[in-house]
Amino acid sequence: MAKVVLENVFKIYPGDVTAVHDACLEIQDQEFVVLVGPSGCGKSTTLRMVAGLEDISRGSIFIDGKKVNDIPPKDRDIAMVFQNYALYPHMSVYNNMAFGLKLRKYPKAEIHKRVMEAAEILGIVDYLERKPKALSGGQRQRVAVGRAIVRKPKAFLFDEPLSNLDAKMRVQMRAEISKLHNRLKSTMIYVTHDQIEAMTMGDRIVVMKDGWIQQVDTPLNIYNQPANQFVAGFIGSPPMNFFKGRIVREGNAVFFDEGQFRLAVPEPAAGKLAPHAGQDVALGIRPEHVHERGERPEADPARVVPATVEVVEMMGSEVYLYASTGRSNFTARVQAACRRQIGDAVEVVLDMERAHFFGGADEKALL
Amino acid sequence: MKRALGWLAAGAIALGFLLPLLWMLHASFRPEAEVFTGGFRGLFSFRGLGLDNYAAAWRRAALGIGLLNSILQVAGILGLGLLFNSMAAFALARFEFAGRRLLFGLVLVLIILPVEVLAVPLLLTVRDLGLTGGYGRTLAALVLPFAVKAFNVYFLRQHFLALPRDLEEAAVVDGAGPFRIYWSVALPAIRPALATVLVLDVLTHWSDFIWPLIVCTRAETRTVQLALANLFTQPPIQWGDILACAVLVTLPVLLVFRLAQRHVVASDLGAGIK
Repeated sequence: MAKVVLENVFKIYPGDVTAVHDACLEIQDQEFVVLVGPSGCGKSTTLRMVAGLEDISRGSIFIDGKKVNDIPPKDRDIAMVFQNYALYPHMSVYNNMAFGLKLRKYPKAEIHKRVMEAAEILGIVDYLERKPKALSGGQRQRVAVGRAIVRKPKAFLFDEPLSNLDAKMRVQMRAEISKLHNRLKSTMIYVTHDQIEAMTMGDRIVVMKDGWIQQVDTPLNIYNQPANQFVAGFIGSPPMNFFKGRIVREGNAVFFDEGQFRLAVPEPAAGKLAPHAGQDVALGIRPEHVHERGERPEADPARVVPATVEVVEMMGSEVYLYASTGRSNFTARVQAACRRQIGDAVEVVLDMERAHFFGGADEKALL
Repeated sequence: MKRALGWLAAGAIALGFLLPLLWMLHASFRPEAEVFTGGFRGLFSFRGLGLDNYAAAWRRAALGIGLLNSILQVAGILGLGLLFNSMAAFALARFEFAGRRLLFGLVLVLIILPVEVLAVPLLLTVRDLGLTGGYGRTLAALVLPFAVKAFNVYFLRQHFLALPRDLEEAAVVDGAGPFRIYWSVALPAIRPALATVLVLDVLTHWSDFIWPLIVCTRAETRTVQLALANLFTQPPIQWGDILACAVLVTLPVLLVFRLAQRHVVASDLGAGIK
């Protein structure tokens, strides 16, 4: 088990295309860190640099205190699970798992012990003699994980390992990988574009965009205190709503003026936003903090927004209302009893204590 | 009805292709005097069928040594060829080195040169290497010029290129070096392509005539095709013997095709990769 450190790491491809900019990250021993972001954000490239499958253009990577920039993948003592399994098609499950150990010249008995242990953990003992083609997607991914486990590496690297599985299997494997982490107590770096995987699995999440690390924090902190508008919009499902407007100050009161409606900003946010008076900002609010007027009859009228319902999604336990103010579209997550129809005029109440404000060229959080 | 007509047409075409072969097989068992009697209708005559032609062909054409020589020739070409061609193909597909594109261009140029064009330069090379005269030297002369074949390098390179990178990267992380990746991961993964190359090489070199004719100067070095050709020039010309010899020469090729056919078609590459 080991600590993995990235110091000012860059990946620059020929033609001066920079895939990763100045990545700095300290992953603690036994920590489960998830790199998340949209396609092309540099998360897989970062992982591949840790694995040694991509050269590091600038900066340094340390595994267990040792600089690994010029150390080949086989000597970094890491194991990797690939998105499309990458099982050797001509080898049995047993041999797929034993291959790495054979190359490292482990004694046969030790190889057998480790393969059987991993197979027990993953529930694939019955398939050890099968070839990959005789396995389902979930079983193949288990074998791929098993191939990593038997090596007992310093760090496990996962490159979107669940992307090829169906939704149900993904949920199941998600839980299994988390359990595995608890059991093995090993350092794991996990790449995904799925923010639900990131939220549910990681001790910490690294959100990336266009090769830049946007924020590194625990899932709850990322959710509750996003560093910028991108992070706020990327993490959370349905995503955070954004209203464009301007900060207006009238005496001691601070308002967010959208053009069609004006919302009073409560303290302590008001104090922090006062210096930004006159500035264009985005108000961000999560769908669960947007309520139907009926759910909050006592609400301050200065928090109410009139809108028209455009889509209604019944989720069973709750209802998603997709509505429009005319200038802005937003989503409200309301009680299951809601029976609104498309075209209905509604009034929604924004829970302004939970509102976020983003401004400036880099759309940073202002609070 | 439409389906039945389709089957009928397909059957007729298949029969058209099979008929000469069936005639050859049947005639090879007939007495010399009756080989050509009755034309294709003779196929329905089973009078006097026997193995005399086979015994005579085996003896007169020295087919035993011919078969052995051809087996050694083809096995040598296949063994060395599969190794060298696949190694060259893997290097061209996966290694980055100066002049790679130029080398691959030369490989493509070599594909279009027929063996007849190369025969004289090859003969001079073989002579200068001292590969003439003795049995072992002649065998080397039969094998070495064809052990590396441009088309095979090209064909296998394309298959290596089609292999998912993840497969090799998984092996890299597992601790495999370039040769181990080639030998234990990439080569088994392109088995169908190897089987295809094997079948094509067997068909090509089992039928080699011009090159063996040039380099096999002594009777004991003759390949099966030379042995068969010898029956055409050795009086008396016995068509029964020639046809029996032709059947015996064809059988090993059919056997190889039958054995390799499954691998030519099947591929389990998709199984390890989503």
